This record gives sequence, structure tokens and C-alpha cells, in this order.
Amino acid sequence: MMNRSLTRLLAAVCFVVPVAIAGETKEAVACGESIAFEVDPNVLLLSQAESALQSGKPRSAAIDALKVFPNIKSVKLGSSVLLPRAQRIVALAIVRTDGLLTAGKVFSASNADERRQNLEWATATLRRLSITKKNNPSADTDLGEALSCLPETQSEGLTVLDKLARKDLVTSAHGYAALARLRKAAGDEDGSAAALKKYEAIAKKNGGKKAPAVAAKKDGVFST
Amino acid sequence: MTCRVGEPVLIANPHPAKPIRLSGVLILALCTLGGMGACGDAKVDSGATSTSASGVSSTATPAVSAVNSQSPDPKRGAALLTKFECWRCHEGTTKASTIPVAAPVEPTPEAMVKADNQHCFDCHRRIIAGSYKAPKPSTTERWKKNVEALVHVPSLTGAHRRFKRSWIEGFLAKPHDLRPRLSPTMPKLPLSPTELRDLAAFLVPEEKPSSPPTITKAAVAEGRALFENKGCPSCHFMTGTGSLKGNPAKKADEKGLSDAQRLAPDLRFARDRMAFETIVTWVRKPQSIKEDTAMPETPMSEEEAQKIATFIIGEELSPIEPQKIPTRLPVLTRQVSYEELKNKLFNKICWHCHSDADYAIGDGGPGNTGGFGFVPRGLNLAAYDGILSGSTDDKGELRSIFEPMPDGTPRLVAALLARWKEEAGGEDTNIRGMPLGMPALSPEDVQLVETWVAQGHSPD
Repeated sequence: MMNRSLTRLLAAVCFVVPVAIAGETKEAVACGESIAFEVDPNVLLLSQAESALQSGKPRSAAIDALKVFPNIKSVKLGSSVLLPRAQRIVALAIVRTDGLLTAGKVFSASNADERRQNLEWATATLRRLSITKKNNPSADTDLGEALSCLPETQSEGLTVLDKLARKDLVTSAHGYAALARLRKAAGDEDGSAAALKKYEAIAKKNGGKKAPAVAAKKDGVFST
Repeated sequence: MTCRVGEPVLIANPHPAKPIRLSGVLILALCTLGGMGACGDAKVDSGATSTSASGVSSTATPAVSAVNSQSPDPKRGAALLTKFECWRCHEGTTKASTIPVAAPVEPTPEAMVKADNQHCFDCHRRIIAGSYKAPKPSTTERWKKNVEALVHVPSLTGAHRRFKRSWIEGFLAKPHDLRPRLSPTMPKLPLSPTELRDLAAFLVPEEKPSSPPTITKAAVAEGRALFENKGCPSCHFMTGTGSLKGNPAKKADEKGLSDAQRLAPDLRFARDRMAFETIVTWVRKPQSIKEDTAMPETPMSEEEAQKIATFIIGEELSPIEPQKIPTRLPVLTRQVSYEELKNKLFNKICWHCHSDADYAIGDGGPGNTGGFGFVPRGLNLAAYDGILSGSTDDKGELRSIFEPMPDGTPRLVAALLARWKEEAGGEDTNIRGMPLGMPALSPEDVQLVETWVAQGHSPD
């Protein structure tokens, strides 16, 4: 039983959780984004990128987002209303590839240092978005997920996700997967199992069958 | 707003970033500040044979007034027009009163673009006219069907010439369905008693004393005959008085109604809304009171107008029949998907007010970033993770929208049920009914939501 749970847990924490969570419309029912699609194709690109991210294709998501902001690391903050969306996509793509995102010269992961730098950028970016959005569980869940990647921030990640979970406000399956992993590492077996149960409840199924949580992790450098 | 992004380096972008027009969040919380449409009337002095109008309107006023000892301030009321964003739904805000008021929207280009996208009805009108940009023609056609009954709202022009201050105060305190053929109704805004008084004082800075005639049954009967012969019932209902000759009794969702028919108020409330003398003038020369009214001018003498006004204020009315609150349906046994709810409700209705600023490229709507005088609640119903993010309570603390209310009903479902109660003339003091100011969801739609929540509100 324990082994089975552990297997599921490990599966949940690896690179990509090929599930989609957030609902997103390509064509709005009334107003909103669909108008902007016509006005600015970059909105469409970002929407596609979000869909890709939700469908477990972080690399594809990042590439689309980087088409809109090729120099995403150096773009002046506040220069575009689309920037926060693009930054979130790329940052989560990095987190969900465990830092192994390579995209031109902007992001490479040929060694452990670069991989760490990627994760540090992603964490810093999601932290800033979380601060900007203030009291936003979705942004905080993203941050918690990112914090779970690096050993030195895992304790903070556990605090962030725990606080959200107490109010039933973790907004993604990835967030619950990270929480399950962090609780497990902290010796909280019951809490880990509870988070895993929530993960399973909100992880998107494909064709009625729940998608496998993840493939095995390739590299344990940053795992707990 | 200019959106400049970095130069392409390694990844080609076929669509270089260009200025982004605020697409905005269309705010569907539709207001129908009652009383702006057509006829009205005066309250009859005691001793006359007339009855009070409704039991809905004038009864709400004394309680509100009783708590106020400070004099109402019309100038403060003018500022409230902006605070409560009356312009999001109503035209004529700058012509509503004799009290000078700055334009509710600052005339800066940015503000004008924002306002343009935040005016619910203007947006709907442009969709109907085909001038609102949509991704493809089929989308426009679909939108047209959605907003067909959502393009009319009474303007506030000349409110000071038309209404009784007491009626405005009471109506804003407890809005009710005033116009039978209009789908939206005035929502209950978070107005304090002082704000209610100030806003009413702004809209009606001065009231002339009224001297309604002595009412007899014969005079009322004569007025009724004239009312029918002049064709008034072709637009107006007067509930509580039995069937009127020539009244087509069309409902709100029927097609082919004229602007005048859509906006025509139920005349049972007219005696609470207008003074006798105002009704007489209104019946004869409506545009002399409100230049943009849809009410047509019907040829008649002053004497005929007085007779009709006598009928309007003096007709004996049966009490308003309490509306039945729909029966809550049991949770379904079949699986209800998020996709189903998203297409049918969340991204069709809810997101007009509960969106995400980053996605709407404007603001998140009154139910998210605040508006209509409501504090920001941070609720985004336009995306699954937004729904899971919950909202903030009065203390600014986050809470899940699935958390149970005291009776065990999930908060999200409770808001939908509260709207049923509001439409039936009641109120749930624990939660505001949703959708705000819009027709309540059907029992079947509420059942879908309740089932999805009960099944674990998964993204599938």
C-alpha cells in the first residue's frame, strides 16, 4: 500500500504532469479575449501556449510564449499587459521540465548550473507575479510549485502550499503534487496522502481515463 | 496602450507586437434604474378611494429615511454617480439632475477606451449592429442571439423632472422588477443609508408640492377607458388591475418588441414614482420631460391627460402576488463536466463580471477587481484555476467558493439560489444573488452547478 502510494507520489512530482487543469477558451463566448485575438495575434499565441502548458507540453508552451517576448528575461516590466502571462507560462514550463528547458539562447540547460539558473529565474518570476497579484491563490500555487524544486526553498514552498490547502485553495494538480512531495519529505505521510488524493481529484482525465501522473524523473539533482 | 516587446532574436514572431486595444470585460450586471421610461404618477392623499401601489416600493422608504438625521447632500450624491458607476449601464447621467456633475468618465483617451468597453449595453448594441469586432461572422451571429434582449436600459435623462425622491431612495434600497419586458433588473448596489439619501437628493434636488385631484370611481373608470382607447396598454402593463383592452401581454423573452415596449414600466408603480402633475405632463408631452424617451407622444387634450393620470393613480390594485421560488432539483446521477458548465454558464454569463484582468486586457470586472461600488473580491470564474482560487470575504480573507454556508449549501450554489429569492421579492442576507441584476438561472442550470460541485468540481 505504502509502496503503491509512494510510486504514485514519485510519479506526480516529476517533470511533466501531462494533465490540463485550467479552463481556457480559444474562442470566447462573448467579448473578452476573442476580440483581442483579432486585434493582436500575440494574445492568440499566448492562449495557445497556455493550452499547451495545460496539456503537458511545457516546451511547446515556452516556445510560443517566447515568440511574443523573445527577450523575456530583459523586457521592461510593465511594458505590456501580456508580459505577466508570458512570464508565467515560461516560468512554469521551466518548473515542469525541472529546469531542463532549452529555448534558443535565452534558456539553455546543458549543465547543472544552467539548470539551476533556469529554476532560480522561474522562482523569482513567479514570486514577483505572486506579490503583484496579491492574495491570489492561483499565483501562490504557481509559486509554491516552483519553490518545491530547489532544496533551499522547499520549506517555504511547503508553507505556501500548506496555507492554501488548509482553505482548499490550491488551484492546480501540479500544486497538490508538489505539496504531496514536500509533506512526504517532511515526514507527514497522512498529509502527503491527503494532497495526493486532492491531486487525483482535480487532475484532468483524458477520455475518461486519468492520465498517468508522470514519467520517472531523469535526474534527481534537485529532488528532495 | 502601446505594447512594445523585445526584438526577435532566435524565435521568429510572425506577428510583431502592436498596440493592444483594451478588449475589456463586458459587464453584464445590467442595471435598470426603474422609473426612467414612461409614465408614472402621484400618490393619492388619504381619504381618496385609491389604493397604494404595490407594497414593494413605498414601503421600503421609511426604514431607510428613519436612520438618517443628517440632511441629504445632492453634491455628495453627484460624486456617488461615479462611485457606483451608473454610466456602465445608463445613459444620461450628466443630464439626470440640475446639480452640476463632472463627466463620470474622465475624457482622457485611455479612460474613454476603457469606458467604451465597460459600458454593458453599448457593447451589446454594437454587437447587434455588427460593428463590434469579432473573430469571425459566425461568432457575431452567436453573440447577437445572446444579447438580443440585453440592449435596452432606461436613461437617467431628466430624472429630476420626473421622480419623487422618496421613490428613488426606496427603489435603490430594494430594487424590484419594474419593467416586465426587460430581462435585466436594477441590481441592489452596496449603498449605505446616507448614500441612498444623497443619491436620491442628487437625482431629485427639488420637489414641487403635489395636489392630486379627489378621486372617484367614475373618474377612474373614465380614465381607464381613455387609457385603453389611446392605446397605452399596447406598451404598458398595469398589474393588479385585471386585463386591459389592447394589452398584448408579451413577455421579456419575446422577439419583435419595440424600444418603447421593452422599456415601458409596469404602471402599478407609477403613483409611487411620480407626482400627479408630472404624470399629466408626461402622458401628453413625454419628451418635454425626458428628451430621449422612447415613449411616443399621443395626441390628447390636457383634460384627457388628467383623466388618464387619475386612472393611473386612482385605480384600485390587487396586492402583488408573491412569486414562487423555484424548487431546487436533486443532484444528477450523470457526470457533469467543467467543460459543460464553462460553455453554458461560466464563460457565457459569469465571466462578464468575474474575469481576470490579465486575460481580459482591461479589468477583471466588478466581481473581481471591483465596480458598481463593490469592493474587489478577486473572483475569477473565467478559468478553472480562477474558480479554485475562491474570493475574498469582507475582511479580505480568502475563502473557497465551495465552502459550505451555514445550511451546508456550497457558497457558489447559495449565490445562485439567493437570486431566486431576490426575484421573488425576498433577500438572502448572507449572500448576494447571482447573476447580479440578471435573470436567475433555471432550476436545471443550478442543478448542473450543484452536481458538478458535489462530484468534486474536477476539470473534466
